[in-house]
Amino acid sequence: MNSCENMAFMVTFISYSVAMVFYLLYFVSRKTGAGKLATTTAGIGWIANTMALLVRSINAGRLPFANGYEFLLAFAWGTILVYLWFEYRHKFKTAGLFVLPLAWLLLAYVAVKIPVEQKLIVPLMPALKSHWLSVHVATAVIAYGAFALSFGLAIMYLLREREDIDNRPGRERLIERLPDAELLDELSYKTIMFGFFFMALVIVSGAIWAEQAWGSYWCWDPKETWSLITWLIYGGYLHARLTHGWRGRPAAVLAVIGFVAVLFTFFGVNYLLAGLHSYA
Amino acid sequence: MSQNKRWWHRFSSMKMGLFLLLAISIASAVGTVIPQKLPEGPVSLLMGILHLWDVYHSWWYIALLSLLALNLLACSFGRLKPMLVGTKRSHHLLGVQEITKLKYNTLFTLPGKLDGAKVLVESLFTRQGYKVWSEPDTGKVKMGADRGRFYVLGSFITHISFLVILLGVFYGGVFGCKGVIDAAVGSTFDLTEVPGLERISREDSIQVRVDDFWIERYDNGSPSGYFSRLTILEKEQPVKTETLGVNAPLAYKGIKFYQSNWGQLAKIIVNRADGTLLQQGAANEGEILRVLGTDYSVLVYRYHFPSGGTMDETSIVYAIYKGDQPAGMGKAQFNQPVLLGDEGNTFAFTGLVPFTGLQVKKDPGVPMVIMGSLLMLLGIGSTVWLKPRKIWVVLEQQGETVIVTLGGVSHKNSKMFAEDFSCLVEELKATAKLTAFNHSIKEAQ
Repeated sequence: MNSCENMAFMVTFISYSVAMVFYLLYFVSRKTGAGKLATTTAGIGWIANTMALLVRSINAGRLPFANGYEFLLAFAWGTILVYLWFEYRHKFKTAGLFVLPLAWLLLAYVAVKIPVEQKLIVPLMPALKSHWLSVHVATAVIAYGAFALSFGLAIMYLLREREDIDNRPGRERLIERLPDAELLDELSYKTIMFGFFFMALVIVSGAIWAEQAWGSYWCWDPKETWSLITWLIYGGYLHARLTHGWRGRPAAVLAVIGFVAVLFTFFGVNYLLAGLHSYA
Repeated sequence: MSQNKRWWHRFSSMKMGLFLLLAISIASAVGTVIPQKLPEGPVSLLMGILHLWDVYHSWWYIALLSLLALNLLACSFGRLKPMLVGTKRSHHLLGVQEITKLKYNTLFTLPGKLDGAKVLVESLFTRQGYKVWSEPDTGKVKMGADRGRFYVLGSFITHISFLVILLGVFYGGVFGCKGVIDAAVGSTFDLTEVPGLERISREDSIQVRVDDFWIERYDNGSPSGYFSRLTILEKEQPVKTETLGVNAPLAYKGIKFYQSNWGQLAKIIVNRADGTLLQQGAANEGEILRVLGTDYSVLVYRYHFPSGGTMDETSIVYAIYKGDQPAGMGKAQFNQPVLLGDEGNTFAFTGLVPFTGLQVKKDPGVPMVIMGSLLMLLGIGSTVWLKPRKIWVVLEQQGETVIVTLGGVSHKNSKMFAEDFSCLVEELKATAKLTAFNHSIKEAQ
């Protein structure tokens, strides 16, 4: 990691931290100014995040998708990208308070837990030298970003719904400032649909690549299997919702479980289970 | 409902589908926790019955997948007819009263004449991706518009695609085969000699000659690629020479060759007591060479490279077996004869030769799996991005203004449709105002 990249990382980390504070201020005060500052700092953070990835790409001579450090940086980038697009599209800022901490945690993990030698640029091992690497990881970044957002929305739903149940009149409480529960539920569903499509792309591109690299499109490698399990959980969510009318609470709980599976696919498999995906 | 029908109904239900999804997820997770290889030593009864060392090929896992496929088939085709009806454009129109009963409806006035208002509505809807149809009535115009009507097909395509993938997997499993071979550089092997590839027909005898194997390295010494140059021979005539590498397999007549391993083989000769040659062969570290016509075999245990010495000083640690019983072990240098049993046979290692480890595979199911995957992306993509919407409008002339009654429905994301619906209304009003304004400027000029 050279100084330029280090600097970009620091700016990203600080901007996301500051943006979180502004999102909180906006949530508590409802002041438009705080909201604007929150979006601006998150945007600056995202640009710095892009720079960090760009510098690494230039230094490495390839896209920054080759090890855990690079992927975490890209995962945070994807989460904020999906979130900012969502905020722009739905003019809805309170979600930032629930999504930014996820990206922040990913970067904090990079800063604290990943040793320097794992951040070094190493040349690609032969198995990773393929155009499919870019497609596979880029789609994963978007899919994971969307699932992170849907997780934030599901948490918001659960908080809001609880408030609606033990609603005592005559008292305005903070949680009531969250958007309408039904809208949160629908937005979470929409985000999951989007993530589900990208996760399908991740799995299909992975399968086509595996057919070239490992000689078989499906090897039941733990990472492969866990990405399938994650996808099936979200598939279950979509079905339960459409035909069983599983909206609201059960849907939100399932969305949370889905994201836990995403995290396990990423972290758990790497640290707890051994397999062919040892490089990411 | 008869007993049979009730049973079928239950089987083809979504509840059953969801249960199967859950069961398959749990079973798949189990397979990532228990090591997926045959355990050494005795196997417990549960492990034995459930084949837990190979979950994904166990009878019960395949049964679960088959049940899911059947459930999907029943589920999809059960809903096919109403789905196809849903994709047909009905061109039906609604009156004012019916429109005001829709969940999202509104009533407002626009300045100007009926014809102008009709053109306005038409152009705005077309711009937003709607198909518009209309019918004039006395003093009013009824209009209908829709978009995203193929949305309903999305889930059908997705489900069918899953079946296509499973069919491809099954087809490949039945008619495909796969094997691995360590082939020394300079040697030629017949495809039927590759363990696992015995199923390949002997008639179109294909042979492969390993011309070369090499490793390319980065500046820091770590490998950047492994390459093998192979020549394919048919009826002993070379037909194709190509270099393959990791991520770049070689394909010939539906058979693919993958770079999967590399190393050095120990060359072994076995001589009879009278000094004549009995057998010639090669084996990798950890491999066994069976001596023809005897019940002896030689295990090449480990190569031993002396530090600082020359290749000639390399020795090989071996073990001799008679049947399953160990009959001796030792270390031998190149060309040092070792006695093999009572008959006076001897064997010797004559040197090391580089080999390339090739995975050879024939899987005729791959095109079907790829087609299924693409269909799946198309199916999911259309449920994500198509927005099924229907809107009805009645325009009525009243004096110098037109009364607009507008209402719509959507099967998907009703809250978001509400948002879009009010945007549409606002845009209509704004465009009408602008048109009227332009019109008045023109008149003034």
